[in-house]
Amino acid sequence: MKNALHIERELEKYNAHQAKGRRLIATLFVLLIVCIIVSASVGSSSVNFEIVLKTLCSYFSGVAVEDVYRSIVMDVRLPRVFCAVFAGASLSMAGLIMQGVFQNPLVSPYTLGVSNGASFGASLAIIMSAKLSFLGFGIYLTPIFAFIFSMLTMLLVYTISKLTNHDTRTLILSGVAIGYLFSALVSALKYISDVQSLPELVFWSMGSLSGLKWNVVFLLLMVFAVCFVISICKGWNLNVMALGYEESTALGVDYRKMLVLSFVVTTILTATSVAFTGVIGFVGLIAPHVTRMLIGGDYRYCIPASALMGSLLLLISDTLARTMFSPVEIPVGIITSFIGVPFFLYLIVRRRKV
Amino acid sequence: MKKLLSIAIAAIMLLSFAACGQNPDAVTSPDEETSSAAPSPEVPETITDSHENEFTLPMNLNRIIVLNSGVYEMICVLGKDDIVIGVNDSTNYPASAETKEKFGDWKEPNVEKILEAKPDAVIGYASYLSSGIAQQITDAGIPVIMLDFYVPSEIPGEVEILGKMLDAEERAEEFISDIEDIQKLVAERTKDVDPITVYYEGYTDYKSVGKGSGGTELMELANVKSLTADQNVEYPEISDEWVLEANPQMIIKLVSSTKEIMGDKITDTAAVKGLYSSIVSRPGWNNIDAVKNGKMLILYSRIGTNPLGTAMAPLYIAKTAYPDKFEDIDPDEYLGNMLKKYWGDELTGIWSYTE
Repeated sequence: MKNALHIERELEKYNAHQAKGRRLIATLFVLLIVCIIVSASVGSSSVNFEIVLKTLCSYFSGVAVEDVYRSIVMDVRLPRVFCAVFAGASLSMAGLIMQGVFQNPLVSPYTLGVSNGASFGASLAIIMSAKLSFLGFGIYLTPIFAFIFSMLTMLLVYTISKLTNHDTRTLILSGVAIGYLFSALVSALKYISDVQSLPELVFWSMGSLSGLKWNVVFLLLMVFAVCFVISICKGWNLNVMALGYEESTALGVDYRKMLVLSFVVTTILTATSVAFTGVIGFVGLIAPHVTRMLIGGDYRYCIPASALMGSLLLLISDTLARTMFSPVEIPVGIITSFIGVPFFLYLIVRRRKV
Repeated sequence: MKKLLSIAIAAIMLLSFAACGQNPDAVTSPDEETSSAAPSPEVPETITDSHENEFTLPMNLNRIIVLNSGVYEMICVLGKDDIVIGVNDSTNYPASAETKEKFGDWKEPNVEKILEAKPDAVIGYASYLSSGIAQQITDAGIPVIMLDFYVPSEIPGEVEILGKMLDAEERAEEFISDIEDIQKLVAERTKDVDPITVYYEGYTDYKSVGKGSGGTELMELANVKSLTADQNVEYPEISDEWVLEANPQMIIKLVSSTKEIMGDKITDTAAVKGLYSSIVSRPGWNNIDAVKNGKMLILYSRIGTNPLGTAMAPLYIAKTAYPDKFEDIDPDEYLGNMLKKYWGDELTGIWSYTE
């Protein structure tokens, strides 16, 4: 009788927890839709909500819209808004998985050196663009190099960790060490670069979402969608992994296989975003924490909620970055920290009080 | 006590005699001074660098180290590169730079190597040379002269300072006069025009130029209206949709020499054409008047914000902006003359590009 009561109570708790997760996901989703509409309606030009609506309607009805407004809405503003949505979601989801797998709250998608590798690749492409022009990558030289080098960095980290049979601590340490190595290489490139190349290097390393086209949006969406489906399918396994190596193995989860899978998923998510947007900090560190503080650590809910939280944070930050000092834009990384950090600290203090 | 007193009196007397012996004419009345027929000694001429440091002329410089590639180029123009014993790592133009010893980075050069070389002076990049390193060099008794050579309105003054420092005043004055002649020609031809609007982009995409920058001054010299002239940030990153709505009538893009797609040794236009098409195919840019009318000028950095560019950039910009006012003027001819007269080079390669 006692047992039945206990089970019932636990079930109630579980259901309440599930409902809380679903509520947060629904709330974040609605918030994101609202933010997308607001973000699409503001900017440095006079294009407002009405013009955006008219432009979208013009595809279905005979409403006439000036070419320049159509361009601003369809070629500039909407691709940028959706880039922020998918890049934010990718970074946040990658951060969540990494923090869980490594059981370390300080881990972010950049901890294992992805961003340092990408920065080195991008810097190399910027400085050596003349020598590398034979490759025929054109304007995609920098993102392609950033992606290739971030993958190479991860391959190096993975190979080293393999020597220790995928010990998570070794993985983090080797990631941090190799990250430092690439960071030193970037500094070396900055050191030898002249007054003409240096601003471009600095600019890239601060992150920006300007000038991105629909093809980048679709690429980010595809990568995010595939990784999202994989992660959701493995949500239970990720939950079990939080118990540690021995417990999860005892519960039938192939810990090492999951570790490698998480490693590949987070690397691809982060590398793709960084390649096009540059290094945007804090989204991948703070958004997952905030999500977990709100609904706990169940990955089946945390994954979508954290992705939505990342989208929201990056979208709000980028909207502010491009409108605060219009028409001058400020690096989005500065804003993500300004918004994310106070909110994060507030949640920490509130939780401690409780 | 007596002994001490006598020593003190003797010392005072000795000092008094010494004072008299030093300068018998020292005690003179003001009247005597003014009535003296002897010519007053000339006040030594001084020059002031970009950091307000004052130097007395003549500086008698025979061994100098130059840490600013623009300054080195101008020293070659003044025909004084033989006194340069070393340059910073990235100075590789004109060709004589290759034979000079390298003293490290342009921002943080190798201070030990510089001190060991014992130059008569070091010329640094005013806006970038580390102030700590500059102080270390100055503390060692080596004067550090700070010059920029990238703000058009300051360039004539800086060329003049360099001319005086290196005892090449005549050549410097001639160069300044030639630059000013070209600027006057542009001003004369564009004085009655209705200035067209221009979006200017530096080496980095969407990085424009604001108040007080060299690029803004180049556009003022060409009498075109920069879209971003009033921005308080010197090199602002500009919103792409704002550019689209502002609809500039002309676009200017500056290309860094490190890209190797323009320059005196580049003859194949394929790469610069690629850049041109990548700019016009930016999202929505096909709607901009400048793109529709083919009014986009790509300039090589050697005729950007530097001494040669101070004259040539306004001429190329004005010719593209107001072609009917410059029908009889070929900027390439002026550029060729300047290169031949001051650099000893023939005009080769791609220096500007329009379609």
